[in-house]
Amino acid sequence: MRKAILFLFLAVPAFTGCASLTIRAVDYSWSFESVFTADSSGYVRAEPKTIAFDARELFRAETNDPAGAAGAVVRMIRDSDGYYFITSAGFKHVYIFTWSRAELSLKKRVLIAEQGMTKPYFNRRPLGIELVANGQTYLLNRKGIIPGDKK
Amino acid sequence: MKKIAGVLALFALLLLQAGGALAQTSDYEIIESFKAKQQFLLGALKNAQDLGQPGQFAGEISRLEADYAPHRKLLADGLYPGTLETSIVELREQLKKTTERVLLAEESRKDKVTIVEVTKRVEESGRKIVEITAQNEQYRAALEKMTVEVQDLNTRIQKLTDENTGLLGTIRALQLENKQDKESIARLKELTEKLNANIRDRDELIVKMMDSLFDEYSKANLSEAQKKNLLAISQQNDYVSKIVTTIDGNIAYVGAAQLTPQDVRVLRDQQKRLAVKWEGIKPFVSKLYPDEPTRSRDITTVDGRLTDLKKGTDAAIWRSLQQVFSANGIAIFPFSSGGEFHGSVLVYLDEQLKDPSRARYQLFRNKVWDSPIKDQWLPVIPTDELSERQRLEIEERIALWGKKVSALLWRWVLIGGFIVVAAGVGVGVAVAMSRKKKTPTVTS
Repeated sequence: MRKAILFLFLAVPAFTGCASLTIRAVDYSWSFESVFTADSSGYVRAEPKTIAFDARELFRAETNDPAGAAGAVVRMIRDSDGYYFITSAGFKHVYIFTWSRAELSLKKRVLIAEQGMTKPYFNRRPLGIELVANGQTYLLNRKGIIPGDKK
Repeated sequence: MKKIAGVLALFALLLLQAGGALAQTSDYEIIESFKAKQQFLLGALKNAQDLGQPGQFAGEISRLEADYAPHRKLLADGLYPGTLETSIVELREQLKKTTERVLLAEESRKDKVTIVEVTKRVEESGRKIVEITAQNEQYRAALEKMTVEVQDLNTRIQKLTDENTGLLGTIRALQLENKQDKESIARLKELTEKLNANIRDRDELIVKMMDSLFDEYSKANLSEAQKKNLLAISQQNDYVSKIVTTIDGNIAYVGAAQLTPQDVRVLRDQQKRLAVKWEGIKPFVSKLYPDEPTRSRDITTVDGRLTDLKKGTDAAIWRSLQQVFSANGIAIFPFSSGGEFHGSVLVYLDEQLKDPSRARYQLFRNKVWDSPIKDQWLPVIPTDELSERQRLEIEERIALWGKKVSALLWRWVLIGGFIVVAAGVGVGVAVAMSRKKKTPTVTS
């Protein structure tokens, strides 16, 4: 009985502490985009502290050709909310992902150019993520192109 | 080659920067291009063997810093934990290290070059020392030999000088005695010839000594020290005084001697040789003197002695010629030059023309003029002393004397003939008259 009281005495404050701790105003953004080159199996593995994923699903979604991922250059950036923006040269879209345990889940697929993008790149900007492609500049957030910010 | 590599590296860097226009590009590219340029510069600096133009790398670093300054914040993220500033500092530190290294390498290279040069110089000096040592050894041997020769010559010259002094004294004593016996004349002649031979020998020795010193001195490869050494030897041997003594001996000889035409030839040759040799060694002799006044005095003395010798020889010639006349009992006015000789002979001939004598003519012609004067003496007398015209005048006067003597002879021949004819006629008349007186009368 005494043991049970002691357990409760120690455990209750601990559980109480875990449930209530929240860090706010977190900025997940990357200062600049990462540019990855997928390996022969289409797997993207960047430097430590970033991310690694299989790009074949992405290419399947964009071109219906998962094999196209092999050796492809993939550009990726993260905004302050933690959403991932991913695209590649030749893509028509920018893919916006949210993350969950060991997964990237598509939040939004934003059409940029029907003819495909040449030399696309991302920059982090105060109001969102800047995309430059085909000589055009776009400002994106998790919902897609911020209206009025296409230049 | 290293310079070319340095220049190429900078050229490549300029191309890299030219390609890195930063107007509108990916932040990622900005960071990557900065990294690339910074790394390139860093590598170029680490590998640089030559810094090319002074300040060129420093300029490139400053330019990189200025170009990327607007992206300082981005670079702070991209280069984390580094920054633009730390990257530039890294480059500048590397530049400093490279500069020091290149300078050290340059110094080392220069040192190596210096070492090689010094080694070469040392080797060259070594070779020269060996050569000079060998030359010195040769020179020392030659000098020793020459010193012995000069000493030997010196002894012989001194011996001849002493002997000549004795001979001259004896000759002068005999001349004063004026003995005309055959024995005394023969003795005088013998002594004179001996003195003459001695003087010739001594002249030869002096010239030989001059040659040995002068030839050695004239060698082009003699060092200053070696030349000084030679000068010292010459000074020890009282070189100039020997030349003066020799010339003085010759002057004394020609002042006392009765010369033959052969003697005159020899004397004149010797004089010429001495004069030429003296002119040749004057520069060398000049160096024997430590001070100008002594040098000038002694050289002037020798020059004057040579002139005196020439005058003395000329006087001896005329004196010997006079002796030819007086030895044959021909009284002629004294002469001591070509002009005086010409005048004296003409005066004598003119006297003879007034009272021509066959005997005197024959004596003059055969014993004096034709030989030895005309065939032996006149050839040794230069025409600038006795001109052709003067010689011709004398010849014409002698010829005239000869004609007069011939005419005189013919006159006596005619007179003799007349006397003979007249005597013959007288004898014939006398004989005829005596025959007429002795003829008998016939009666019936």
